Amino acid sequence: MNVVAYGSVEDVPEVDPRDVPRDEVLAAVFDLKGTHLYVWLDHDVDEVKVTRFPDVPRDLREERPGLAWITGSVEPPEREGRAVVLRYGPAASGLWEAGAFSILTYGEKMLRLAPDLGYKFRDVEGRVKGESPDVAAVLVERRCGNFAVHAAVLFSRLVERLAGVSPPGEVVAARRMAMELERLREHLWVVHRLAEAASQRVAVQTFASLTEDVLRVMGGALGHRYGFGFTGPGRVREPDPDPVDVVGEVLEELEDLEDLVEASKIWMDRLHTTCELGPEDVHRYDIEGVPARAAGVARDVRTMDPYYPGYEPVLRTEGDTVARMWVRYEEAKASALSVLRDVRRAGGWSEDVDGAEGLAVGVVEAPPGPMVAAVVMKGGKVKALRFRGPSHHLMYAFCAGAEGEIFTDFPFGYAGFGIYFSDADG
Amino acid sequence: MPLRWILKGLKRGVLTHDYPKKGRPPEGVAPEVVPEEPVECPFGASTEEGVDPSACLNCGLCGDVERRSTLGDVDVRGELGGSLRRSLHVFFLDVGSCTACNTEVALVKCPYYDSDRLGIFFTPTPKHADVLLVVGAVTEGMRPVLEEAYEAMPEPKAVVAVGTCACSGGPFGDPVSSVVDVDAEAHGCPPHPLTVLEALMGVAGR
Repeated sequence: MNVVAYGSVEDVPEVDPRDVPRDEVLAAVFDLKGTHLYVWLDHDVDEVKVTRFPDVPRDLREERPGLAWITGSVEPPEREGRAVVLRYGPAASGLWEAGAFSILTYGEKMLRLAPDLGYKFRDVEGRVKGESPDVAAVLVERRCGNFAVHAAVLFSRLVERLAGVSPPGEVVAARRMAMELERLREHLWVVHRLAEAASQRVAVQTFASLTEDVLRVMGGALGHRYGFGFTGPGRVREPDPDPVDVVGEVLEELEDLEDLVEASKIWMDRLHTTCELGPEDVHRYDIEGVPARAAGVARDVRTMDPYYPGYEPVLRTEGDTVARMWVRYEEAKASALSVLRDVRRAGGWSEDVDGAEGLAVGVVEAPPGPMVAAVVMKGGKVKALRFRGPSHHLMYAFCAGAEGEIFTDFPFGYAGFGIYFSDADG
Repeated sequence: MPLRWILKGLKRGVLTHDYPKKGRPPEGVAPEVVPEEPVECPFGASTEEGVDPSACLNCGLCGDVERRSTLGDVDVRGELGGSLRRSLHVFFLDVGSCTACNTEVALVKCPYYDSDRLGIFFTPTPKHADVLLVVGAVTEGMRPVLEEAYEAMPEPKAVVAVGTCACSGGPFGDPVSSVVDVDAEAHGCPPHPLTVLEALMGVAGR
């Protein structure tokens, strides 16, 4: 199961995080009501688990180096001998977003990197406090517009769990369709960005227009190009099935383009062995999502999500940017097929969630990796929300992969992760 | 290999719309579900005169179904004109967006909209820019960056605010106009790529 619920924070079992088996992935640590909620992903039994502990033990960082990424406590690099620190951002056109990296460099080599987070901090968690579930959903989906559907579905499922309501099958199909449209669009956009980094002009325009095709489908079928307002706690808008036919054409185009992309040596050579993360890095740093699957580690929380029965993750083994691109390419095709299956059975829904009370914690697989949230509801209002988008952890994973690369590899590595500062900052 | 890509591109045909010659292309937008209990706008977009388009998040909670299905409109207050009517260089700056606006702005370059054919080009530095195109509500960290970018631009120059957060601050912060004067607004959450182009052509004086 991907969602768990408790009467209150005090009902969460208190466990020393150092006693949790190392093969369980630490997905988030939330500071909540004077304690710390630890969210674990157990891929052996396909379950999300939650424990609490008063603090974050210092020696846990030795056992789990990824904890410094989770808590954002990585020290930025400092000048070392003849190597100097270069700041890239926050207005760099190459990032196309407000964010920055500190890069320790000697010559062309990037010796160490660290993201400088916070430029886009909008305090979504603080702003939803005291709001109704409907108003909170509007803010939650604007944390990161490119992952809006996943954020809205996750938040809605937590509130619905606390209200004791379950969506019928046609609503699950509608939500799954919306999430897979978002994944399809996002994967196409990442391939477009990789082509752009390699100056493959025709490929850039091809994948940009395919992205626009999917945005138009979302606008027509869901009522909004980014799926804003499509779903919220206890409600789903009735999707219009007709615009979704275009997804079949997008799928055909993807199949048709596959050989051409693979045979584009100049493009593929730039991605090959760039920003590598092997399975040992994945385990060491508790990495999930596309980078894990590209390194051959089957970590995809859709396997624990009842919305995706029998889901089999897409895997590659090379762990480099080209592997991450092909994982996305395969997933994009699978998403298109999933959308075409779901469209005729998807339906709308409206159910009262006023009785939602307690704490719920859950996870969904957003396009780059897992999105984790915890919500406390009281008296029909949001009492507290904690949210962790996949980009936060993957910003640091990108930096680890880019260590030792040269400057010109930066745009390929960064684009291949498909991450956003808005998602990392919240 | 490049030849195969070119042939592939040719096979797809011309995707670019005739905008602005033939007006905006129709875009399917699903019928909206009217909320059972419409509420007064929780984000302050309701005014005595009606919905303030610069502050509307198009969330539909107020039950204004018609407004929700628009692609966004523009409000042009100042024009550059002169030699910049035909060729405009734009510096893009994000000061705290959710990134949906960023994607819509990037898509003005895609074959469907093709900003190049309209003489609109993006430049990586404000020193070469005629227009500062800003998305997002101004966060504390980006306020000095916005000021610096504006100061670095040569005269004549214009500022275009894109999206609800940049135009009014939205639910997350301060509008761009709290830092620099704004010459045009592209409304919407996020605005459609055509709305972005319309605002840019507006400040160009076209």
